[in-house]
Amino acid sequence: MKRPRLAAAILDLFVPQDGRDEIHGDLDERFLRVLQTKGQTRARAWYWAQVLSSTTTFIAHRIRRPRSPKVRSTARQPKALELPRSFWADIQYAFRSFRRHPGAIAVAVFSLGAGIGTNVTIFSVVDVYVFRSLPFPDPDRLVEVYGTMPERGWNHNPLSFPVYLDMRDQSRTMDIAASHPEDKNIAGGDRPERIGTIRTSWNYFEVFQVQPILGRAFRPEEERDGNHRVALIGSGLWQRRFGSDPGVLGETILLDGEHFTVIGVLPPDFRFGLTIPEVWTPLGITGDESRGTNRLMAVGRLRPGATVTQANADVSRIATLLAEEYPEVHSGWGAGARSLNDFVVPVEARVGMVITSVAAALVLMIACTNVANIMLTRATARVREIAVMGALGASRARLVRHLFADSVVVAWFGGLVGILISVAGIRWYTSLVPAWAPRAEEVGIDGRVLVFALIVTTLTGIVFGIIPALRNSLPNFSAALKEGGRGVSGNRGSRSRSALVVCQVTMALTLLVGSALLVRGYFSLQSMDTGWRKENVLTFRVSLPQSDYQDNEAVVSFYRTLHERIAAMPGVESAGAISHLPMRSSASTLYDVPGHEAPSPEQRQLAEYRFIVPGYLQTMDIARLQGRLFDERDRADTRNAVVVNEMLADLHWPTENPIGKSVELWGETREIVGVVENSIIYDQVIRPMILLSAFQEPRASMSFVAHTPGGQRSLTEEIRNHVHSLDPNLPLYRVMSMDEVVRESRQMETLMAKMMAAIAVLALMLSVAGVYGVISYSVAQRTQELGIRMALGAREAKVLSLVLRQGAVITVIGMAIGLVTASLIARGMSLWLFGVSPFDAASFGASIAILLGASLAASYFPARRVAKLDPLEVLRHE
Amino acid sequence: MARASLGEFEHLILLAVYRLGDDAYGVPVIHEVEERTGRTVTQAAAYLTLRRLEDKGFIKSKLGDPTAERGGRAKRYFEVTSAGTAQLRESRAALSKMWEGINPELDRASR
Repeated sequence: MKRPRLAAAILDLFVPQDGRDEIHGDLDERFLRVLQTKGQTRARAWYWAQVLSSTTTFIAHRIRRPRSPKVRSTARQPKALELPRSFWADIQYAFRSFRRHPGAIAVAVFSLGAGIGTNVTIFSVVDVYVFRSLPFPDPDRLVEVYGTMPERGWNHNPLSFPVYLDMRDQSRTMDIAASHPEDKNIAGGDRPERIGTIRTSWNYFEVFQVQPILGRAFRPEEERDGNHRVALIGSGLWQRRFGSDPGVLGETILLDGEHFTVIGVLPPDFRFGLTIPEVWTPLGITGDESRGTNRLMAVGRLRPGATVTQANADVSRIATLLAEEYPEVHSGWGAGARSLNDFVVPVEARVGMVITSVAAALVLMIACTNVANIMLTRATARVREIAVMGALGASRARLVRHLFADSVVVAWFGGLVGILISVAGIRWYTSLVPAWAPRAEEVGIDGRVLVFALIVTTLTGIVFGIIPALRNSLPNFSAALKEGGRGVSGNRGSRSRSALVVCQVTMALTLLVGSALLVRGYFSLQSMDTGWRKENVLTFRVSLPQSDYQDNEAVVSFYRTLHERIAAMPGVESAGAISHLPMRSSASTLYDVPGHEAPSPEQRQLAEYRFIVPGYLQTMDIARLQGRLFDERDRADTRNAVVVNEMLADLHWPTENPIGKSVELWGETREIVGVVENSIIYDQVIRPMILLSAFQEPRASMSFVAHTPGGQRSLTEEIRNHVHSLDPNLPLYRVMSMDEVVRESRQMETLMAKMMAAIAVLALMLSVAGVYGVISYSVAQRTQELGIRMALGAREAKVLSLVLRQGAVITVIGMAIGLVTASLIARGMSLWLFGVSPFDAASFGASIAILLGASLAASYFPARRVAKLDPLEVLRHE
Repeated sequence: MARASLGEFEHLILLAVYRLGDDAYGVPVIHEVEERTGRTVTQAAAYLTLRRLEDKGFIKSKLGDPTAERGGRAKRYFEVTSAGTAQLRESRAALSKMWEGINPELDRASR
């Protein structure tokens, strides 16, 4: 167990050079003793307390005392030092007076710490994605190249192989690389494994300017099919499978049954995009790739002198030429280029960061309001003191500084507490963020974040400090002295305090509503009616390598056998399989309906398509509405059949029976044999869907689903054995329940809901503290008045309601304004709301109830305190 | 320069150094004051006060041997000088003269 290192480092900044060893030695020794007697937590707290108090003492010492004692004795101090020294006296005064009101100051420091901590945490995330450039050389010269189809509202589409090659050859402004991620089975080792791989153009590493740490990158000729069996591997895989052996070059690895020769190893943190690849292989271009199949993500590096705007014009010029040359595939298509930083932060993340930043700023404002209130109260209590100072000839500037010292001290401690809170906050964030989120590993506290914290602390100190300081440095001295410091109640001071709390309640309600919506969205996601079964469904995925399963019969026979075996297992009610599980991703295609041809290519309809193994629909409890489901009649040698969802049927045959009608997909007509109910595919939008039989048109990769009413834990190993007995080289992967699939697909929403809930709880606490502060202050000021009322016969209940009403009025005014701002914010958040209306009555209602309840409780306690007093005692006290 | 005087905290620290004799370095000095007076003493306050007393010539110091429990850092041992002893004697005399006859009265007043 070591002493807290951060604390020791902070202390180091302030300790006098010649005393460093001595002081650290003493502290270590004392720390050990506390550790032995009081345990780790207390010892760490003790150490921090020592560091914080010692730091203040050392700073004080340095300001008070010039570095060289000779200067002091022989010459007058330089003028510049006088201000800090008298200011230091003010700060010491502030310290001493804080000791008399530790409660109020603790509230102020904690409020500020919470506000600053929240902001620093959010900033450390935002900084990475918004302000820091990508971790590649010259990142500003990197652009994303994409296709567009304005008529369909497609703004950022991938490119097809031929289009990419045309762009690369014809571009005058940049060198363009392309990649396409795909998961593959890697054989050998203890157990076959499924890993992320990525196929790239030969110049991929040149464009990113990344050098292999071992071996070489691809050569141009290796990009073509036939020469493409070479691979670069990631450091992780190199370590895991080859024990970091430099002799790995020239070894072969078996990916989906194909042999690849390892030619290089990439540095540990090289990664771009949403997948985590471990093997990079060349694209393997055959020349037969379709112009219409868009799969490649293209990244360009601007040539010297070129700009993003020029690059954008350049690719859109090429797209126009292509549309003229190949009108049947490319008409309607355009292209564009934008800075790669824009690509990495998708719009949802951007909106999410704006929401949380605004929320954090609101928390800070609430905190500042609290502190400003406390400062106002203190300043009001010190009116006499200030008046005396003024009467004795202190200048206004001197008085402002005197009052401002309080704020400086509070801000300083608030900043320290804030940094500690953000350390915890950032740890919490990184524990929640999904593994695939790009650049998550870059989030943390560093110099930039600390500078930000310093700026926020200074600004807040000025914001909440300057107003009370300015106001109270200008009292009417003689009036204040005459009034005896009592008559100030009920004047502008308490009005402005109430106004501050109204603002606070407004902001708190806004935050509460915002996070209530997100939390509701999160829960509605949990309980959402997806249209398919979520409970007790076990899923896993298998992918058959083409080299081992060369024809359709082999694939069909594998899946048929596996399906039969799984369905026959005890504990499995029914089983099936699908090419892509719902919630995972979209797979859509254009289709035609013979007899209902679209007037132009841009108006052709788009449908989600999936291949399924019979049994899928029953297992997932998706009901058949018309016709039949797939069965033994649907084989490779019979007519191609499809099952469509209700939406597609209604779209084309609103009044007719769709059974027996046909749709055309990929140039082939298929007969509609059945209609099933609509269900969620990957987001909340219901889309037309076409299901095809995987026994009729087989697919290499399938996700199995098994309905296991009695739980599934014991079944996984048995399923693994079945797969192993069919093919020992085949890994089983993504083994999870359907529940987990849903949860995983919404990790970002979950993260968002949790962060906003935490922020809202803070906001609630802070604003309740604000209401409490104002009410209890005003009760203290009115003690005499209330005492007279009671002496004249007012009941306890009457006094209570008098005080409660004051709290209620403030809260209700604040909430009325808050409802307006909350509605505005809620609309901006709609992108993040899953299955919840932005004007969800329950969220608004609950927020109002919680806030009102909490502020009434906050007014009740001070009210009861005064109502319980003996009126005689109260009157005598004055 | 006029005769240096002794602040209250300086007084406490100087007495602690005197009491501890040969074992007077940072940690025991702090403990001595904390245990006898019940107040908490921060590292910085103790360090700065010891330095000030040394500047005033009331104590002198020398470096001791490093120990493991201090992370291999040396201790600085303090010893009260004759000027320090004289100062203590003088302070005690002044204080006890000022206290003469006050004690019973003070106890009554606090009630």
